[in-house]
Amino acid sequence: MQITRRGLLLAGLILLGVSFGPAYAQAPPPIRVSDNHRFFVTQDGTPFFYLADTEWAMFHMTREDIDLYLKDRAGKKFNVIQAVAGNMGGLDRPNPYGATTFVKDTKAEPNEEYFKNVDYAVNKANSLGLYVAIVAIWGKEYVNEKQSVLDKTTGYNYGKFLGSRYRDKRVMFILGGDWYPDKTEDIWRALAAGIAAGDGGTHLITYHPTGIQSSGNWFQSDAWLSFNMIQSRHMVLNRGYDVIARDWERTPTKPVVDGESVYEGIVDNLIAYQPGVPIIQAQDVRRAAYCSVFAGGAGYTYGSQGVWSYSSPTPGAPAPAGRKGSGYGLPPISFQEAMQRPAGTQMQYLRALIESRPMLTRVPDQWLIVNDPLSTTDRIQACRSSDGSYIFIYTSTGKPVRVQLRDKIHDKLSGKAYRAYWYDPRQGTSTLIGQFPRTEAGDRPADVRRNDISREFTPPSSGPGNDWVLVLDDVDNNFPPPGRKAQQ
Amino acid sequence: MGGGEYNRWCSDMGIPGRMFRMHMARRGLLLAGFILLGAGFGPAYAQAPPRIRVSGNHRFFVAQDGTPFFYLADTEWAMFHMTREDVDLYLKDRAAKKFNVIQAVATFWGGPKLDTPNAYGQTVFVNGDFTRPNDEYFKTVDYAVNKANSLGLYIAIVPIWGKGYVNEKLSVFDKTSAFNYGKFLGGRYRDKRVMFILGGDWYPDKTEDIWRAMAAGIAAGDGGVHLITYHPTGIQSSGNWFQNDAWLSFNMVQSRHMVLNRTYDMIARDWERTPTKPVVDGESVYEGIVDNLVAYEPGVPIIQAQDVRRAAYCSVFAGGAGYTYGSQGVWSYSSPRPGAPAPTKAGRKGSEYGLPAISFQEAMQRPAGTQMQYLRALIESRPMLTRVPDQWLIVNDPLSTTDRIQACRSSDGSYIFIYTSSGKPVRVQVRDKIRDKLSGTAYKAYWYDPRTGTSTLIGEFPRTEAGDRPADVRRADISKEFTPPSSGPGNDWVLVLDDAAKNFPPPGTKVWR
Repeated sequence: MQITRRGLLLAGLILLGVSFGPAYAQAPPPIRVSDNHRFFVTQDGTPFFYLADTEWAMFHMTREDIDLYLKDRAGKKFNVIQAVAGNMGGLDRPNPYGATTFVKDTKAEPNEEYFKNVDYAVNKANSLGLYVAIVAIWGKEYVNEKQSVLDKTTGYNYGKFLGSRYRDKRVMFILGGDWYPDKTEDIWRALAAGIAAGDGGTHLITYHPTGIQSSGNWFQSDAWLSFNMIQSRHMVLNRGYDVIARDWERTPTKPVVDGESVYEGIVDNLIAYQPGVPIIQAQDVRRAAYCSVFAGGAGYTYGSQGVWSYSSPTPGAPAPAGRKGSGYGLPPISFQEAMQRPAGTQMQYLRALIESRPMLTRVPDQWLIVNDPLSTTDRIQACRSSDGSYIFIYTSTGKPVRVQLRDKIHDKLSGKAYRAYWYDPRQGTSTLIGQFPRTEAGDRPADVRRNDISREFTPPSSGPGNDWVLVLDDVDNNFPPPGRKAQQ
Repeated sequence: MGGGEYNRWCSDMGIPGRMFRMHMARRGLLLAGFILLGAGFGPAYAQAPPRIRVSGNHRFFVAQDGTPFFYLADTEWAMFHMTREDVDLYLKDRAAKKFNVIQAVATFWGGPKLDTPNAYGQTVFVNGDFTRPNDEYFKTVDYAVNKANSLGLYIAIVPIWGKGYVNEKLSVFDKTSAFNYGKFLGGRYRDKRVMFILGGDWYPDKTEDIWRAMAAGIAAGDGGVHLITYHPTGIQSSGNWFQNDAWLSFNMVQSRHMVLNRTYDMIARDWERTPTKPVVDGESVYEGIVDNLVAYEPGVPIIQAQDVRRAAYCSVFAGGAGYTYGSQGVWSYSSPRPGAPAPTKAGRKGSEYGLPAISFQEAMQRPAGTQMQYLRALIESRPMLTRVPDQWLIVNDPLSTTDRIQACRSSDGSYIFIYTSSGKPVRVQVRDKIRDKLSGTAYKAYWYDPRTGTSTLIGEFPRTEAGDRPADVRRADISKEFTPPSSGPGNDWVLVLDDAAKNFPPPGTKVWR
């Protein structure tokens, strides 16, 4: 309606031809949960590392900005974009083309004109190899224990509309939205049932809770919950690793992703900014990302202050929704600038590292660390492959790591020898430390007594921001250096 | 005692009366048997504590009538090799210090062939035949069990030390003999207050089915009335292998003898496992032992009382249904009284880790051995079955190992406990947006001293007092910071917050039943 009113039928046809066509041709494959219920894979079983950027406001961007934004994110190797359909900051706020999510004065009847912009973003993203994780409606504001714009029926219908409309697109669905589902559990269940009725169950569904909560706290046993999502809170003292570790143990087993962690450039604890209050730095983001993934995460969601809320858009563009209150008193920054923050570029090195080794056998194991694994800003976080082919240990401030290579009768690494590297999360480069015989006797009295084997490694640098990943490989596997893909 | 009564007793003991009579007659010890009945078994029956089962929520232990039971064990792996005089001395000391479970091994350090005798010259099996438990040996076990029961103590019996005798390289049992031995034990102690601990400091890799057979045998013998768990090697939990086995009544972890003990992470993991089962750290840091069990030399740290208290409180607050204490010199029955038969010579070798010798009598008096009762008193002074771990009560950095801060609360909002290992301040999240962590309109705050079991009232605060930090105001959170009376290594404190309306007694004030 909006478009016809503007007399832009031709533009609409061009859009169909230019955007929908190529999108179909180049769309990435559908994603499902791996057979061990820990990770994601494409339909043919190829492992998929979920590396999302947060642009909650994407469907309120102009199409020009959508293009700009998605190209930047694809260039930085993000592969999922998290975006909210049921707008944050006021359902009555229109997108740049004057349309609201629901038709005014209806019981949550989806507005065709609004969803044309969603279509545009989804198709553009798919054409660039990106998946879109669509938050159906922001729970915190619209579906909570005090009020809900959806009931079970309208929730089901809205879900069915979304599922059906994006049935053949590369999307996922995120229910919730920064809130508890207390007293609204059944509305979310109805929405999930509606989505499945619409898309035939082809898309992944999760739930995005409020801070320090997991979807598993409410929906672990719900079949529609494909994977767990946690929110670990915007704090320098972020402890996402503890939240992930808890979810790793839940049954039935499901993958878990920290879907909202520390946003780069945001004020610590989301308070109103004033001089002296800490701002989340790239090192805080890297620490949260590596610790979260090494603790068992199937991926990670990055966010940048100024990007997630589509703040300060291109001069001349319509004022987008949701900006009010999202700046926390910080100096304004355009989303274009905010896209260039250091950790936004560095997240791809985490993905590269994970993808450079077998991905489906990764298990968290803090007992690889003999010394104190510490907490928050100095955290040391470890994982390994269950087949013994590699070990990754992240040390947030470059503290030395003593690695337990054998625990009495249990070997943590396979093979006769292992290669050790330092991987630099700031640059995605690695340095070979050397090659060591795996069965070399322990060098400490406790090791000798227990038939343990351990070895200490000291990073090239230490102190805040000097984070490193220790990589140990069974040499027999001839893995490429960490962060590089093997030659096919 | 008439013949009928006698037969009933034999039946209660799970012993066919005729067999027992024959046995006694063979030795001509009928009279001695009656004396034993009168002196040992009789009082035991009169005063034996109630049976223990898992609570309805599968998190804790309760007596048959539902009264909560906090498992506070001492480790005397060698108890069945003690002289009876030392058994008496030991158990009286432990009962007085409010331990309520003793963990003991039926086959303690018997040597490679299990042929090292106990204090009375008896070996656990007859002539090294693992299908024939030695009745004479088990009379000493009977004595200890009865004595313990008469003092209100339960015995957690380890049937055979897995590390030495049932492991992936060798096993003295196959499935059949394991079942039969289990049935013998279950039958013999059917009406006693015991539990059974399978395993013994080792992985059950490749021996899982032998342990399962033993568990089935125990149940065949005792009718399934006793709790069963499995004691694994360091940094492992029974749940790693047996979580889904119905016979596994509760999980046991071993958290390792290290100053850098991280029992809280192990317990937290077990708390999440399903099917839900209680979990106890069954071997943690032994007071007085060398850090990491290396050979002692000057400069190597020795586990101190503060290390033990830290492990105990962190383990329990992380979700433990109890805790097992141990003291170097006690657990191995070292250096017994002059004149007593030399116990377990083979076993004692290597158990001192090069430390100066200490008698078990002295080793029973180490400070944390006395202080463990204050943990039990604290737990028992508040509703026990609603306790849940919650590290998100702590707003500041909960830190790790030697500075660890560990928090739990009651799911009904009636109280919060937060342990701070080295007296670091704690900022407590009293409300998280829409969720209150405490009930009522006001709360009372105390510092509880784990060294002395005494408490100091900090004050009473309105619960809905607005948050005092910008982040709290924005999120409608409420938090408040508390700074302990002292800080530094060994200055551990428990912050106790009570819903004032509950009128709980001061923390640790025991309502001994």
